[in-house]
Amino acid sequence: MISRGYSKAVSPQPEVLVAEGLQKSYGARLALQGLTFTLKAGHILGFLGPNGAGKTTSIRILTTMIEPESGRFVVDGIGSEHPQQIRRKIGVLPENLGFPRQMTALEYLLYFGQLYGQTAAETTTVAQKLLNDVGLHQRRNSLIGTYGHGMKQRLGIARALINKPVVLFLDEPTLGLDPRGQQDLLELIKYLSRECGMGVVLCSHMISEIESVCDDVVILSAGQMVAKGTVAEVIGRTQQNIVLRNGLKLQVLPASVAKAMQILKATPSVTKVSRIGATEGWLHLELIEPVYEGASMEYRISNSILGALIRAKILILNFEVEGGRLQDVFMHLTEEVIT
Amino acid sequence: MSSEQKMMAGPHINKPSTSALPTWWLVFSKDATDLWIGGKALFLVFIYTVVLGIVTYVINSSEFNSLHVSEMVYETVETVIEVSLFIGLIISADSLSGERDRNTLESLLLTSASRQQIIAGKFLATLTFWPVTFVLAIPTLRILSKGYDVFGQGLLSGGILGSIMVLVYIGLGMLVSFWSNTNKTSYVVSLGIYILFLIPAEMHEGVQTGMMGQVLRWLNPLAAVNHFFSKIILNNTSFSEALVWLESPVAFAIVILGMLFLYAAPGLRLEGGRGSKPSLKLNKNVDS
Repeated sequence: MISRGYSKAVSPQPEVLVAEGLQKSYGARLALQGLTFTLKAGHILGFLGPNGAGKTTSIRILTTMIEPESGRFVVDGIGSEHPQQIRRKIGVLPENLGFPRQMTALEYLLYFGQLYGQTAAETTTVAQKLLNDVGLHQRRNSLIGTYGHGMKQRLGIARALINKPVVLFLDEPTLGLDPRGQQDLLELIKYLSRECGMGVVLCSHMISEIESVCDDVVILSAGQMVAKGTVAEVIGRTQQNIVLRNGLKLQVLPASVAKAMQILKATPSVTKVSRIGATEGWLHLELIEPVYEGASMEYRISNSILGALIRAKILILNFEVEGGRLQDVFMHLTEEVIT
Repeated sequence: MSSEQKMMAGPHINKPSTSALPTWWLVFSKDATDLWIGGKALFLVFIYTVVLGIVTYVINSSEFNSLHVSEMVYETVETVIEVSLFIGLIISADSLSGERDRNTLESLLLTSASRQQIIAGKFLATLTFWPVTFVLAIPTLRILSKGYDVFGQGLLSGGILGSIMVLVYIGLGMLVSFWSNTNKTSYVVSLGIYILFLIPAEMHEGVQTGMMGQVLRWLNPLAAVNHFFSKIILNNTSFSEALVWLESPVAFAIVILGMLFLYAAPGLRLEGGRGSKPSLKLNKNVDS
């Protein structure tokens, strides 16, 4: 799907985007407050938040489209007081991107490449390659007006890459793509980050997408940054507050349900075992409240439960820590701010 | 690393090439192509030719047969300029707010291209309709002037006056478009401005009498241009004597273009209106 024509990033990874204390309000409404984070070359940062959380405002500030009231950001060593220089270093796929209907995809990329100061010859080579990478090479000479939504989205990504950016901002990039297109795009994003050394800021409503490709995550709610760090850190830090409320879910063979329930009830860390549904073999476990001793405490409880079942030779089909996924963390944190 | 790989080594090579085309030319080429190939300019020019044809027919009809040749040329050139200004305003009113409506402005602003050059390219692209409408009027003027000298006079003065006014109106239209978040607002405000200048300019000179009337006519660039043109074509006034009536159109052109290129263009942004001047409270803790 993706051809390999980019150069590999050189380690160690420098910080390509540093934001500190960014703030913006629209009238009396505070749209963004104290946004602070760093993004390293070769890393993917996920921006999560419910509608109106300040994601688009953050992206627009970081892409120099609007100015923050306070705070500052630096892109590849260039401070936010030099927006024109920053624009040379960034590639952006905005949420609502319009396209000229009368141009072909190749003409479109040539136009933008030249706007970045490249010669027509330089841009042509890059554009041809990018169109190939996003799967539009066959349709490069078709008018954009004849493209479907998914094709336009892919063209938008090619345009975002035309200036060979250091930091790539993608706002809902998989919106409107079919499952294969979504998968291909996520692969492309990973490739651009891991192999080409680009820092990628990925804004998406699809938490599974963020969880699967992002190294770091920033969660926004009502303009405030409620969590930041690596995906594992954010989950781990929040888990202690939510894991016990939800407990564990596990699935065994329907024939083993009764025996499993008996064993689990005898396990010291389990306070209650109940069946979920009649035939699927799913069980819900409520656990004792552990004295928090760091992130490892939950894992020790989980291990003791699993160990008891394994020793009894009960086949475990599925096991899930409720509250142990980014989705749970997101729901918990955003709910907390709203309430 | 192959030469291709070197070229694609993104994060490290993104400086503008010295042999690259200037931004204004790129924007001009694209917008002019959109305008003409897209059909908008062709449609407006078609409407213009219909109006010009009707006006010529009416002037030549029996009712107006008593008109002197110079009066016919005057009426025709006045129509050519006024309709051209309407076309210019319609096209320029769409130039920025239209891109906002179509969500195409953001991708343009996200490039490192100079805002002033973007505005310059769009301004020049809009301007391309004027030579076309003017050239289309030449055969009509030639026929109406019936070989008299007034043809050359009308063509020269009409060309100069029309060019000045087209600059004013395109500049005005772009300023309105710059400040408007939607195309609808831009069109309505532009049309309002057009009518505001047109109605007093079309009034009979007897209506605007006295000192106040003269000042009002002088202040209205369209009325001033019409008055200047009537003095040259109908009253055979010398150019230097009539020059005072060119002061306000020229002043308007300078002010409008100055506002567009020096004040508005550097602040071109996604939302309508001019962006606030950079006022970042710099945080020295962030390494640059």
